[in-house]
Amino acid sequence: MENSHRKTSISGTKIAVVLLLAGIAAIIFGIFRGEATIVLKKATMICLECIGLG
Amino acid sequence: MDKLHVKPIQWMRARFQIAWAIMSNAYIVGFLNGKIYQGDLKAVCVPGLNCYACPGALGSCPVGAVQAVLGSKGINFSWYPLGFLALWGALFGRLVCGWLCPFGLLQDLLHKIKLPKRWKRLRTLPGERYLRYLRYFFLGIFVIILPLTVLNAFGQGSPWFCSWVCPSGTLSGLLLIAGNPTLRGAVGFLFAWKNVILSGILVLSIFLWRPFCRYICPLGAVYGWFNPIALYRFKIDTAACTKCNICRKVCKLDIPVYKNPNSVDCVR
Repeated sequence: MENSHRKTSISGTKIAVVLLLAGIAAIIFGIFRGEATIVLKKATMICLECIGLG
Repeated sequence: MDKLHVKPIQWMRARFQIAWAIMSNAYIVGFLNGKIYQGDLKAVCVPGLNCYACPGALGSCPVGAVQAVLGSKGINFSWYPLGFLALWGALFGRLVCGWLCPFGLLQDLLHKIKLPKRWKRLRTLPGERYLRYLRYFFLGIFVIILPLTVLNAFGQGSPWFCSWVCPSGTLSGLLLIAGNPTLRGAVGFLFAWKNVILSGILVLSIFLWRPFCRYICPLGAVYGWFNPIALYRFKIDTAACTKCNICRKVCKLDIPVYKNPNSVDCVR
């Protein structure tokens, strides 16, 4: 019982680390695709749609 | 799990939430002039629901960023904002909702308002189990499908969740309008509709703990999936647990923690 708990916990940690690295990779890939620029452009203008005016 | 154990964490959490909300909305000039921060830091997605149209916001809302990218011409996947969601989710799961979300803080503060003795707080709403699935509907339809498929003449989609639902955006709008009279001329039906949603959520927050996080928040829906595997997660000491159910009684979301310590509904 204790062993199976430990195994589940360790595999959960492994999945988390893989997702963490995948997240970092996705951010870098997104930057190269110009997505960071899109976000920056949208976020630095007052988004009238976001506040319910557009 | 008596009150002695729970209270110091709640005390610390409330202070951390306030400090985080101030830190991530530290552009004071914006509040005074009805303008927004326009520096490069805005490219970074913050973990919680914090509208980038908020006068003080230093970073971007991940939900808004997903829609902004999906709605751009020729793009059908949001790598960059989803990368941030995976990063924050893998580290914290819904700890983000409990500790790092300014809109969560607002609901927490409203829930602290003392009620007259004859008024009772609600633990759940009728149909609670089904209502909690609504946040997946908002995530799937309003955050992903509509921005991706309903396009204008230039091939661009709209941020449907922000436009029609998001109360954080409405609150930002109110703050902006307060400091920027020129924006007041643009107020119309949509703004009135969004204020109805915001008011409903704020009033309900007094009686029910975190209604927006339970039923609507698409960000909470995503982070909930990370709860069972996030680096920060709960583990029950099965040898010590007596299944007394006190954890469920203490939990404001009515989760039987000893059975499901990492429930997708759990706001840490």
